[in-house]
Amino acid sequence: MNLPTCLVLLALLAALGAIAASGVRARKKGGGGCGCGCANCPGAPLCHPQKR
Amino acid sequence: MSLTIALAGNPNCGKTTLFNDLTGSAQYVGNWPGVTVEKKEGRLRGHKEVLIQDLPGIYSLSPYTLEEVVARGYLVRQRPDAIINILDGTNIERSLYLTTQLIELGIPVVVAVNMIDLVRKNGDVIDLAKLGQELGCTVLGMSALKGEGGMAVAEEAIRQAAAGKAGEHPHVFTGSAEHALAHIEEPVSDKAGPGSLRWYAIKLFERDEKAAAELGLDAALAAHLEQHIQDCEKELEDDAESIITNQRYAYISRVVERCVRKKAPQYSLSASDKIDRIVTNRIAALPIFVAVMFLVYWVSMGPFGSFLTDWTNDVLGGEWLQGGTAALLEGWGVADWLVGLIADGIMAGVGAVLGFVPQMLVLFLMLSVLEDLGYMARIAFILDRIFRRFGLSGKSFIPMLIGSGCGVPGVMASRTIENDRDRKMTIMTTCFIPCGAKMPIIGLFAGALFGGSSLVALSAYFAGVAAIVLSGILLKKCRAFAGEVAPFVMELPAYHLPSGKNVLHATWERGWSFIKRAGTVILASSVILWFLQGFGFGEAGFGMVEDNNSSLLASVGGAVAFLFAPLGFGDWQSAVATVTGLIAKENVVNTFGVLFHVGGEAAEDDAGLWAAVALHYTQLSAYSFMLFNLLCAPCFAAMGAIRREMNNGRWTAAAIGYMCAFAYGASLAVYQLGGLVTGECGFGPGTLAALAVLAGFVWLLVRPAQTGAVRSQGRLAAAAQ
Repeated sequence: MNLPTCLVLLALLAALGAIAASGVRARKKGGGGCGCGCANCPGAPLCHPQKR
Repeated sequence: MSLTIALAGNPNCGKTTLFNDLTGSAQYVGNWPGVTVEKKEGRLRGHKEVLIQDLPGIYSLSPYTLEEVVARGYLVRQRPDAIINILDGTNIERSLYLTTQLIELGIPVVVAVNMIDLVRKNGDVIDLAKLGQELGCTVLGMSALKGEGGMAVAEEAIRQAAAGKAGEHPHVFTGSAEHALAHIEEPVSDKAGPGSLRWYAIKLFERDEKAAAELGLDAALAAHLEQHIQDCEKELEDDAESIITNQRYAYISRVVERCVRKKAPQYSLSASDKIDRIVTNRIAALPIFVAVMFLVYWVSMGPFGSFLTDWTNDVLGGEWLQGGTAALLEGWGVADWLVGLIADGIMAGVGAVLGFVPQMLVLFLMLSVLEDLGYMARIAFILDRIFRRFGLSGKSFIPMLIGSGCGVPGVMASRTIENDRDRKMTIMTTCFIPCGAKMPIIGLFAGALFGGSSLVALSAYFAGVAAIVLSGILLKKCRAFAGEVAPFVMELPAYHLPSGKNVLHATWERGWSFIKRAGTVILASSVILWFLQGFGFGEAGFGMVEDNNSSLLASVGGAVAFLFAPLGFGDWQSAVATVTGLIAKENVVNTFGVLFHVGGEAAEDDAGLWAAVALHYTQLSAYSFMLFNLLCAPCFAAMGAIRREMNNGRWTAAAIGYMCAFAYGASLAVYQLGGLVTGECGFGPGTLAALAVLAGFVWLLVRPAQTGAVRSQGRLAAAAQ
């Protein structure tokens, strides 16, 4: 593998890693993989109870 | 010092609009009651120490509905430092019922008369100062929609919260009722603190079990209080709850008579009433609804939307992004396989999904306009008539309305349905309505095989509605769902011109979520799909394969493809697309993007994904595939929501199994019987199976209902024998 291939591959792996990490982080925060803008959804507190 | 101010008021009176204005939040605002089903909080702009709490809309503090339970639980137990009670100025008499209850809580209350601009425009006059004197609290006017007066209301609430002194209780009750309340207050004064003594006394008078439990009354004291209540009931010849309600309304009438001067005669029709006479007319309502939805889909998915999607797919996605990326990477000397992964896998897959963003944005924009205009609430009213006849409550339409954006909040919204049977049935049927993620599937097939006809999208929407109605009839006849339909009461909001801010915000929120998902779940799926379709067992063992028909994915897809053969799409690509659609429904299009692009079909014709799809399907098999994918099990996120809401593994399995069976039956009938008519299929085992499914379905629809009453009669008869 030449250098450009390695760099592009690393960038791609980093992007995939970031996607996976954000998914895990959202899951730990109580997210359910809902892709519909939970932050402003009227029913959001039902899925994601607010912590005071 | 930290202060908490709660926003309380009737549904659809403008609480969330005020909340957004005060906190700078961008919470979803809908012009239909029941948008907020849980409380939300935010910091007041310019006052970081002030927390604003947006409560669900409620008509009273009686714990009958989920919203009332949430709001009452918060106000009574957590006791904010002040309450901003928002009244709909155009309907002040009804709004004041809750106000009288809030004042009794012993928390400082600031009454904000919203839509004061409309009141003035109507020529009505509300004497705010006098209203304040009558209620014993400050009353201010405001217009949440125009952002006028909201901050003044908040500042007054801060002042009162800091002072910590509630106003005097108004003289709502008279005669025997007041006498009984005084007798109740006396023995419970040490249990209910001085601030909330009045509220608890009234609740105990109404025999509110939750309030009694909170105070921990012993049997002797409860019996003593009951004696006072019964004496009052005997004297006024009415039950305690009705006495309180009647006296509240009598008090409100007196207050309104003194403080409000209406210009228009009492029984004249408002502009909204006049529009509703046509739009909700018994005969015209349904055709108008169909026409409106046709217009929505014609604009978004028809020639205009298709033009935008064509350009995005071919020029932006195909030439610029895909072609440009490939050229750039090749220029850098990146290995061919990695160029292939990025250009043919990621760019082709994600690009196929993103190509539909313009159509989606137009669709979301139009639905947001209808919602903000107030028409969506009318659809719930119109459909209630139809749903009720078939065993579903109009309340089921609210989850479906939300579900047209995404199935997850749609399923969650079923929580507002109190009746457990109706709630379960709504959960089982909500995902039949095409959500935003299913729109690319519709758009793809409409564009590829039906010349971009908007009738395809319209038929998909009404196929969802028909599936719900038919399921209502079918399921209501099962013992688990038998019973009377719960009544549906919903206040129709007044029509108003859509607010540009609200509409654009709702459109952007939905659109951005779609784009975000394409950049995460869909992108990751593209990579996996590209590897799976590029590797397999060849003559030299495991490795990259030239033809993706000999890939791992083809082997796995081919193993289950036979299941779909009677539906007209028994190839491994369709099977894989259907299965990957369970991760996210956009993945169906993503899968085609990866498989057909890499497979070379798109390149052969040089006309992109649509041409490849057109080569792969007939119109009938495409419609059958689309129908199956629209009606079958939703994505994993929605299945998770179903699991949470059902709170039972068996019910979850039953719900998902039902959806899949329904989808399979519908697609089988469409393909086999449609094929018989068009000549695409000959008469054979598939036709017999379709006829059997259809006959079974008709029997399930027309058979007598298995009611609980019949069951108990049967049991009684058996016991008597």
